[in-house]
Amino acid sequence: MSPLSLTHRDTVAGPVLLVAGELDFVHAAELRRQVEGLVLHAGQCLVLDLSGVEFCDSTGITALLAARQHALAAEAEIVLAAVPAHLERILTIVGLVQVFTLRATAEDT
Amino acid sequence: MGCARRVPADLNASPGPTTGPGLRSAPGAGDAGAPVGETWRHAPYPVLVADRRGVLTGLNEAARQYLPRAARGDRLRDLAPSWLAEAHHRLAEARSPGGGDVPAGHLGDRFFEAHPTPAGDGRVVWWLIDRTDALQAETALHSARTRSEMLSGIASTLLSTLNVPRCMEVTASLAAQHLAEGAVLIAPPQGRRHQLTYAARGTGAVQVTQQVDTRSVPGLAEALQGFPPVPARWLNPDDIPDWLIPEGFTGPVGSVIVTPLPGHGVPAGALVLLRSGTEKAFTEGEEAFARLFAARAGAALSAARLYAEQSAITATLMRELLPPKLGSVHGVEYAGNYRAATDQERIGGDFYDVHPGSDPSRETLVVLGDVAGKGLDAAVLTGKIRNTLQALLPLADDHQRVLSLLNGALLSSHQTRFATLVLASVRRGDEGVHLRLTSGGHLPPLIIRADGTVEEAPTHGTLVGALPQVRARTIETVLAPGEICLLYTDGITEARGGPLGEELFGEERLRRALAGCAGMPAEAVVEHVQMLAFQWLRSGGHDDMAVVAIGAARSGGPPTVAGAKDGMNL
Amino acid sequence: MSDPTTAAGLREALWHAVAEGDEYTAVALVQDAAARHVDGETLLLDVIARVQERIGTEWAAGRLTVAQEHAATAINERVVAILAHHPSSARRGAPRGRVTVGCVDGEWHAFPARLVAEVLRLRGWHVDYLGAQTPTPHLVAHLHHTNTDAVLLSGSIPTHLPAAHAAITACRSVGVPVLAGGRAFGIDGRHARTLGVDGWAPDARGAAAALAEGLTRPDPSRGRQAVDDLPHLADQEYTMIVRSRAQLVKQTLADLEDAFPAAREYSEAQRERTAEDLAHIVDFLATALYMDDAGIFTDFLTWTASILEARDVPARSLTIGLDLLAGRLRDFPRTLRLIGEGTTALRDRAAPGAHA
Repeated sequence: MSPLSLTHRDTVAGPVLLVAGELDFVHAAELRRQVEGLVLHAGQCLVLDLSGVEFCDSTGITALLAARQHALAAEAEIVLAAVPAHLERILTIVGLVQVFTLRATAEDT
Repeated sequence: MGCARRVPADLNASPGPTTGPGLRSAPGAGDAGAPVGETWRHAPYPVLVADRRGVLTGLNEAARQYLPRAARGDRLRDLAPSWLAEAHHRLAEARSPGGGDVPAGHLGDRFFEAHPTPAGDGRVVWWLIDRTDALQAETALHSARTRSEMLSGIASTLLSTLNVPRCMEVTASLAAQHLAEGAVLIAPPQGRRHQLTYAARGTGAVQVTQQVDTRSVPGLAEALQGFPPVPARWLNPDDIPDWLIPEGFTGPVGSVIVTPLPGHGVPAGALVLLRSGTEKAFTEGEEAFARLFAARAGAALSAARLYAEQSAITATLMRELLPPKLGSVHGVEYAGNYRAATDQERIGGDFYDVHPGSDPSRETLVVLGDVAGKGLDAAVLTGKIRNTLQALLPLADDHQRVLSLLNGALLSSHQTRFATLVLASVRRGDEGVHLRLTSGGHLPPLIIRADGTVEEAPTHGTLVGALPQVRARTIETVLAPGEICLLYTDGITEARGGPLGEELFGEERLRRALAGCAGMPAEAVVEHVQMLAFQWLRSGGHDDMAVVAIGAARSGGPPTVAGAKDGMNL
Repeated sequence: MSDPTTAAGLREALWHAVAEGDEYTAVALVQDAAARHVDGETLLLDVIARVQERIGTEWAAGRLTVAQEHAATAINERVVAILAHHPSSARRGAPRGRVTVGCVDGEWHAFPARLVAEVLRLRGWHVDYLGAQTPTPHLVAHLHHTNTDAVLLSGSIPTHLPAAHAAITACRSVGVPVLAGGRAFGIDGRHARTLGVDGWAPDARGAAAALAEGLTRPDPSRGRQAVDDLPHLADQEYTMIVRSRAQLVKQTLADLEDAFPAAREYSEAQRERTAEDLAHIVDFLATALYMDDAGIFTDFLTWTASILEARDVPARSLTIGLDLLAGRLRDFPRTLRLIGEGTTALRDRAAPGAHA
């Protein structure tokens, strides 16, 4: 099992957070804390690059929903980028594919 | 005077204080051939000299204090205690000090060890070493050790059970075993009745609940209110009423102790100890020990009471949160199983319910869901969801509407958790069981067809409790006889383990297993799925797991007998 | 043709019903018999229990599929439940005492425990039946709730013996005696005795007799621990094997692929099944280490060999697995000795084809 690793960089469009490892009961809170600490401006776009996510359970989904809440509160957008197939299946099951904007890569604009 | 005691020989063998310094420096000691000298006369402890026939030939001042009427020429047999006379006789016969124990016994009110020094002329000098204080210390030490061992044994026995009646039985039995011949534990009144626990030595404890007059026993009513115990000597055994005598107690009562069992704040009851007339009365030490025992017992009883109260409250609160028992409803079989994430808890974030239709022509609503998170907090939210759904039953014709209303209710309740769930409306028709299935962000139900094909019901929708709007798609299908629709939570598919340790059980493995379940009754399918998931886990930790199977009975409807569906009498 | 008025006839008729998955007929048979005043205990033990045994042997011989076996067992369980609610089973008068019946944690075979529970009810006991795989904390909480006279602990699979030991120790430390039963404890109950139970019974009638005779309550002030009963655990071999189980299976699987190139061509499903087989061997090996009893390991191996051969799978793979495991466990003398005994037992067993 690999623990969660979070890498943050800023682009012109807004912050990009590279998420890798496991979004489970133990680690999802860490993502939530990081995201809620990000300063977002109206019109910016928060990109969560999920290409390295190996596992995601309901607490991981909660963290993604919290990230969305944080972006909307700042009148910013949120994009989930490079979503792996297993995670896309989960997002489909819980009905969040329609709620989030999904994108093939973090760089795409 | 006849109270002889023998101490082990090794006391004699060890040099030093036990044998007394005087022995080594005494003339003739260790020199059996030498005649008896005179130094012994000044020895600071009693010394007697006797010849082979047991006739006293000398004694010093110290010895005279204990044997004031002794004179030379007297026979030891007449003037000395028998233990010493016999020891002398044995020594004279054997003509050697011999091995074995050092002779010891009382002389007056003191306790002596007698160490012989044979002289060459057949006489023996007996050096008497006073061991009274050592003996008292040993006895005191022994009884203190016995008591503290007894107390620690009693404490761990008492604390082993958190069951109140059992704890009372243990208390009464221990008291009858260690403190008295009979013991009665009187619990605080419940209404006007008391639970009474009787024990007599050598018999098991007996419990009865009855109305008794506690004021008829001096000190009892006070003890039940926590007042200090009445000293035993103030209690008249004749005042003990018959109801206080345990069966098997061989009376008449000789002495009595009434002592409170101090609890946490309130008395845990009172203990009455009884001894028969033939047994010796309670000493002050024993009374103190009884109080110590009562303190331990009172603490244990209070802990048990507290536990019983707490668990009664928990059980009441939990009753609403536990999954229901399922069976057959309107010709359709339902089976469910649930296991909470931790073994310590019985409830968690998964839930299911079956709401039977008012008659066979009406749909039965089945719900299975999963609240994000685990433990008690998650369980409380499942309770809220289950209650809301119960209220929404009249609208169950429209699953999407039910989900929207539930979503609204959860959003307005200011909690941050979301839930996913599946709704299934079930009705038995002529050609099979009709199903309407809707997923609110939950894993789609799996359908096991008669030929072993496993289908995923193509329903999907949004989780509830997180977003302002929810959407969902309802699908319809029919189960032929012998087919099963399985609802489950991700605790099953996310079980981590397997032979290689870290793999997820996964949907694919579940489908493969279900393919082999075609034709099984609903109960067997549920059990099989739970078993596979658990064997996959072995001893690893897991999330909550819930499984519900809806089955079309194979022919004519399963035979049922009232109550047969809940075979367990828990 | 079977005569459904005798136990043997009923047995035959019930067997056909459950084997065909015909619940309706199975239930009707037993209900009719109960209505004709056939003794409840006879129905439970001389009809239903015997049919259940036959389900097991037929499965072992490869004549029932897993699904058929499950279906048959489920029907048999339903039959027991319906019989339990038959008016003839109602207790008359005050109970003789209160007992708790449950299965060891991890044990899914609840049928024997259920039968014992029903027989004890018929004999006048107040029975709390806790069902399959009772977690030990639940069992102990139950004992604190109820003033139970005894716990009857059922286990079928020997690999649950360490869990059984934990349950036995926990029950005894709260002063409740334990009566063990079921195949896991050995046909003569020797494993039960090793684990310090207060009693053992070979079957439901034996359990009822042992209870009637009365069990002595254990003295809870003697806080015993696992290693007091099993001093050999001090060598840590059991602990090491259990903790490295997954690693051990993984390595042995790799060794297998090195030694037998054909194994590299296995499909994912075949590979997983091989891993499961190895994991099973390790589990029984660990249990034998725990109990310090080679019989647990050799019985499992010879039984598995016969199951494999009944399905036309050569049992040679077991010996290969043992050799590879031994190669990985050089530092564990007690373990190596057990593996050696396992290899010998497989070699010495009756030639294939000797069984039906």
